[in-house]
Amino acid sequence: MERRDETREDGPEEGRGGGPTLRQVFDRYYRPVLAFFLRRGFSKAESEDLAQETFIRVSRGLEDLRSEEALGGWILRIAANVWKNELRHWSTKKRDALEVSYEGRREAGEPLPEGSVSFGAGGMYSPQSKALDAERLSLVRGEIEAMGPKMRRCLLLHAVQGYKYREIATLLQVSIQTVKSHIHQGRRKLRDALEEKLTEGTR
Amino acid sequence: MTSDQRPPDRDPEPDPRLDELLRAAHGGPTPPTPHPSPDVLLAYHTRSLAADEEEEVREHLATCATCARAVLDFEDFADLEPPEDRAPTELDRRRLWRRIEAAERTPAPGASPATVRWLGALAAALLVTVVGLSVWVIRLQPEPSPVRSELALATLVPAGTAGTVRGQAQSVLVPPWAESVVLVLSHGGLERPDRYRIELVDDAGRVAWSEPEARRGEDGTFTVEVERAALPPGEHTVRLVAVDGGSPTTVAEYPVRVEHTAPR
Repeated sequence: MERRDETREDGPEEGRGGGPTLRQVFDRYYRPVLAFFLRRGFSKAESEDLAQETFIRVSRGLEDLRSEEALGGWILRIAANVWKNELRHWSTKKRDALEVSYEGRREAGEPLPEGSVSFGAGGMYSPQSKALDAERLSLVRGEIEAMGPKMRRCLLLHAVQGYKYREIATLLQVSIQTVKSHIHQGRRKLRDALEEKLTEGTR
Repeated sequence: MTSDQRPPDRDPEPDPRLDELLRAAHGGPTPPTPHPSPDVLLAYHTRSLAADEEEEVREHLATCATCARAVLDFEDFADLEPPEDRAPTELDRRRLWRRIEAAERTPAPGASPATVRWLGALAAALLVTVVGLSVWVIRLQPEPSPVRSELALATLVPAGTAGTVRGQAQSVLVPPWAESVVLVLSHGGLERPDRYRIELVDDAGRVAWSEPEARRGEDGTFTVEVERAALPPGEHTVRLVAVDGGSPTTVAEYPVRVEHTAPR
């Protein structure tokens, strides 16, 4: 049996079948794979370990990879499986870890507790009383629930989670124009409903 | 600027007060439906789900920042960047090569319990033989040439759990060129999901060094890198401690004799 030289540069699975070497794949995809796990809420040490596990699996299938174009998607699939297994093994703790704030959520701002809303003095939604605030919140909830699912999802992803049009289009698998249109119409619906309520309240 | 001239991702009619009201009315820390598993999210991303399953995932994504972020990461996977500049190092590569080789030595999953017992016994016997032979060969042969290498490797087998009689110390040779030593701790009898730390205890019983988040590899071994300075010559004990829930419990001890070999 041929003895493996541990010091050679391309690693144990180098370049069989004319495809990329494990070293090339590792150097190209280590950062995305590491970032992928860090962004799932894993610690630095855990993410490094999970990235290594991902590439161990990559090493087993690299020689069977037929198309280099498919490499990124294939590695993503392996990383997602490693993530899934990790969730299974660490179910309770890691599900909690999944709930940590993400950049997007921080950017969007944490939702305000009900009853602590302040809309500024003199604005269209300035509360004259806490009761009126509660009434408006209830009205908005009702309007959102009554919306069609596409409009509701677009509006929530944009206003509540803070995603951009392009991101919402990716998430919901629709065009950017559709996203814009739903958000525009959804806002108008809410404004109309609130204005009507405000008018009723001042009568 | 007309609405046609606006960049596509800019909000043509920002209304922060309405958005604030929406967040107050509908924002919540917990999504109303359970998280889909990663493979379902990935299938959604690759459009491999049935229409009704897709709708369920879309409904979840609208209220779950966690899963929405994952789907966006799938989309941009090849361009994801860690927060700190973290290009793979030679050390990362060497760790990977070692782990791949260790994984290749372990039996394939799915073997029958009897086979596993047989293979386990065989592997243990082989490991002891290999470790013994390695020590013997290393002692007989000249110092290995430091070809681009700053990392030494030592594979350790447990002498017993806490409170048991300590076995014979295993040699850990630290060559003059080694900046650090990778300890590979074998232990086949641990159940997940414990968390572990690895401690290096000196001959006075003090914890001289520790790795608070030791993780078990797919092959069942724990791999930890210890800097040269943390491994002075002498008798030490490497201790594997389970720290998940309750009080920490030592699950295995590996008595070692560290020797710093002299340059030739």
